[in-house]
Amino acid sequence: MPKEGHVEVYNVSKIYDPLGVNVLALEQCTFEIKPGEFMAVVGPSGCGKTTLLNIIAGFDTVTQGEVWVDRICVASPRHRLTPGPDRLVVFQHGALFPWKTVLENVTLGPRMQGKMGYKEVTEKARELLQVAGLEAFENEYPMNISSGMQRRVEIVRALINEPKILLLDEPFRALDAMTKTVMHKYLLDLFDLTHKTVLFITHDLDESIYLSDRVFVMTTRPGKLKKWINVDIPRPRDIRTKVTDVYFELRKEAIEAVHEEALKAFERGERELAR
Amino acid sequence: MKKPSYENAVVYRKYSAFQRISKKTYQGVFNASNLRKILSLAAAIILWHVFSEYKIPPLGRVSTPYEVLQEAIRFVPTKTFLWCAIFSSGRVFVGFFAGCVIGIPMGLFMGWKRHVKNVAFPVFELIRPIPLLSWIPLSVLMFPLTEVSIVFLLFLAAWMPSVINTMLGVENVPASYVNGALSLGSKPIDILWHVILPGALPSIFTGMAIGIGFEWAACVAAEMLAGGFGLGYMLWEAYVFNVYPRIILSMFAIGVTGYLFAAVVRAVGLQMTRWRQLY
Repeated sequence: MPKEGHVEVYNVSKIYDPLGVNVLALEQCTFEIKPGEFMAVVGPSGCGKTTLLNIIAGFDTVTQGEVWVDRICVASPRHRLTPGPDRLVVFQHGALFPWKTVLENVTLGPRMQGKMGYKEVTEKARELLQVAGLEAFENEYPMNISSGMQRRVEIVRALINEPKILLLDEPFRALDAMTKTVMHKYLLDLFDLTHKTVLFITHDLDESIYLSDRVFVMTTRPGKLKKWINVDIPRPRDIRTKVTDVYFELRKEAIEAVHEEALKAFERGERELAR
Repeated sequence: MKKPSYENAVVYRKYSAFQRISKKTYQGVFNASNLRKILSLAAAIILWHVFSEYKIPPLGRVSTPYEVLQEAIRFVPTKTFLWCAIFSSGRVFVGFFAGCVIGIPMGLFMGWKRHVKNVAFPVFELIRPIPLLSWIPLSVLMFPLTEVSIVFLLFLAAWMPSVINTMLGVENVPASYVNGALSLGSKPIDILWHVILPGALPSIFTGMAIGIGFEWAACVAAEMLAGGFGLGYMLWEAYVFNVYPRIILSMFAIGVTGYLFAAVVRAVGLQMTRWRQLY
């Protein structure tokens, strides 16, 4: 098991203050991701999942609480924002630079950090792209490859930097169901291979149980812990995992909690509209 | 199930290589849509001829196409015409170049850093609505040399759209690109070079295309008032000395040079934003 990538989140709260209206987005979230653990966060839309991820990634400030990665404080109220290559993000809508080819996109990180020489980076990038089945597309612009491929490139772009933790922000949201299953399999294989710490954000319960070791079910806004679900399905998993009894049991356990929160979010949405 | 047919290949064989090429040329150049375009041009010229020949009011005192053609044959090869074209193009080039070189970095920083925008934008917005031509008296007063005041006017014409469009382009670069670059370990200068500049490029070229259009309008107006040389001056002189065919000739000359400049800007823009073209 790897020793890197231990994430501790203590008591994190976040208040947004647009137009003088205080909105409590996160309320006292406390959890720990062990090194090499795949943790998923599930919750209804607008519950602060992405806020949580942005705080850990260093894109957003916290109002209260602290985040520690490998015994280094990365976020606290008096802390400067510190995004960095140790906590890499794969974004919801994709953030491959459309003006750079696939290879340029993948090699950008190490080149920016000045870690490796150009030749070395290119070699490593080709290797990783081959694992992702993308070696034929290295000179294409992102617009010319399919969205599933784009996502794979983005994961490769993150992995080449050898991050301590991989933050995935609903990465498969825009994909169709077929591509999604393929991408799940790719991510699972990759996880079995590298055993990076992963924080996976999603609103899809199936996806979270299928992929992760532990699911953090969030309440609707303000986001806080609703329920922990421990997924004790052995790895390696594949598509047949989804029809096992254990999987059904876990789903049954989780679905009520998630549905309740979704309903609450929906009702509140209506109330806010009526006001 | 239908078998793949080779009928098309057989049809292709019916022509020799030469015939095929000539047929292709025929279809490529003289196809229906191109013929319609030629027809419309011809119709415009015929209308112009009829109106000016038979003194029908709006074009009653305008020269006929034939007179303009004669004037062109006589006047275009002369040194005067050549120098006029060179002078105007030179002024436009210098003004446009200066406007872009100063305007684009300004726009980049205004879009990127909120503080720069806070300082620069109010002044810029105060200046921007003032029509370009109303700067003519002031620019004559400000600079001792006429040439400099003309170039200053042309500078303004390119500067304003390039600043505003660059700024908007930078502001439209998605935050996730900047965040992504930050978490990949980029330094601010890398973000400017690898993310913000390329992200704003399409918008920058829109600004440049607008700028080059303003350039010629400003150039002609400035030269009419204080030229001494140039296509705009030529136009004004032709009007003052009653050389009517030359008025239209000058207009055409300005149109053609303006088109060439715009085409160059457009070609450079397309070349530099190749990543936007799907295939």
